[in-house]
Amino acid sequence: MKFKKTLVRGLAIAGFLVSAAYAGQGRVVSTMDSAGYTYIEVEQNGNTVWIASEPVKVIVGQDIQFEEYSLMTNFRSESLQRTFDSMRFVNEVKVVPSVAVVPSVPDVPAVPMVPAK
Amino acid sequence: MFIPSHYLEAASYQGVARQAFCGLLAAGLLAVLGGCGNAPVAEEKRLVWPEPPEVARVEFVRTITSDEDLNKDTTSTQSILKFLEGERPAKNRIVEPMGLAVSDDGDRIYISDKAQNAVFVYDFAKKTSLKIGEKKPLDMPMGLAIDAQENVYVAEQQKKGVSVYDRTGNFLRFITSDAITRPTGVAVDKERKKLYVVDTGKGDTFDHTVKIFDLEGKPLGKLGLGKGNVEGALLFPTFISVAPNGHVLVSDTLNSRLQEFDADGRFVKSIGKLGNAYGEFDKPKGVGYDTFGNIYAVDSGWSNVQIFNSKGQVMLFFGGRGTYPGLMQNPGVLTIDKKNRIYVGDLLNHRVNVYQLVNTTAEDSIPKEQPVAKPTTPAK
Repeated sequence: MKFKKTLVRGLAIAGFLVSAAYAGQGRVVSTMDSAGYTYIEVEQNGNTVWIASEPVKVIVGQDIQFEEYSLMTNFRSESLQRTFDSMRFVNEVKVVPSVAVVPSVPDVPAVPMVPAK
Repeated sequence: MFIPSHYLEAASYQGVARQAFCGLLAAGLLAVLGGCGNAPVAEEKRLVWPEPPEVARVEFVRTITSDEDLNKDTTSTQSILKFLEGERPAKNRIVEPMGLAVSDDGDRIYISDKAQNAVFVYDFAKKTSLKIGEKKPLDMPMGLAIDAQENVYVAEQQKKGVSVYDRTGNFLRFITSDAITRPTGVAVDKERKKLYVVDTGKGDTFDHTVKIFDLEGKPLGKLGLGKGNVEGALLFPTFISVAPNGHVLVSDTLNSRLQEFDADGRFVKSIGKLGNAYGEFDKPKGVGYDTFGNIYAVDSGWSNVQIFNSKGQVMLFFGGRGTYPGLMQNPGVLTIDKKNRIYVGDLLNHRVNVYQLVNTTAEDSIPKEQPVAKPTTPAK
């Protein structure tokens, strides 16, 4: 029983570590759909990289997560008529939910001041 | 040489499928007859391409499955009967032919067998055979080539290099470099004394290129831009062949195309793309040139061989999926001798198929010029 528990725990930790190792994250700089793919330019730690995934709806400025599958160098997209130094083909793209903005206390009074006469 | 009109109009593989069906039916019938004692054995149907009434250009000659074939002139129906009767395969039976080379006179054939961890050398003139790797098995032998002295260069994929043996099986040297990750096809430019080693690479490596050595093993450079799909880049390349002018043709397998480079490594042209029309590929693998300069490419996915002229115009295909002698199942490597006999490593049928180019002259391979529009004369 103890062995089973240890095994399950070990597998869970290993799975977490593997998933953590493959997860990529960045902010969408530009995006385009073509020939059954969505191409996304992503900013990661000050650098920009291109990823290609199944069609997904993302907008510029969003933070996304993706699981890298295969890196292709010297990549030519005939449908876009464009050559990329590298393209990361990814399994899945997830949009990171943005943190809800809590309105701060306004600096200006709610009631407009009436000029003194 | 040309694609007959009815081939273009009919569904791609209908004809071959019909032949395969008839062939299997005939084999089954013969098997029943074989159990009836001294029943006469019907003459087996030998496949040709294109089918009659067109002029045949490629004719199936025979299969080679083991050293027992040294005493046979052709594949006979008897061998099919023996197989169906459950006869044990020969000790030296070919299982997974991944590399092929033939001597200039066509007498000796060299076959590397990935599953048998050996290279078989069959001498059809002397009726002798040799198994390189009998005492010390080779480590996943793949592509194979011979030089002018018939020294054997065989890629040992697990060892990440190429072992060289003389024609009697004596080990001479091992050729490798740190850059090689997964060697598959090899070719020797006998005139320029260069060895080409196709490095298929892996999913997480980017140096998908062809490494070049001299015949002693000194690295001379590489071909290709690395992993990619732009012109000159390669994606899991497998096999290679050298033309008499020193140009090399690389099977760019996962880009579903062939790429030609000149002797200095410059990109020349690309042939084919992914698709199922004539001239398109699924997974091209073995490549070779005949004496007219035509290009032959095995397609492992379509289980056939397509022939192109030197300009890359498709002319004919032969083969097709099946077990009947002459058909193929996931063929891999290909080589052509000086008599224009074409040898195909028929992987899942565990044999080497031999075909002969027939009724063909150099004129048949002349590239057809694209029609040029006549300049219009202004009306007076």
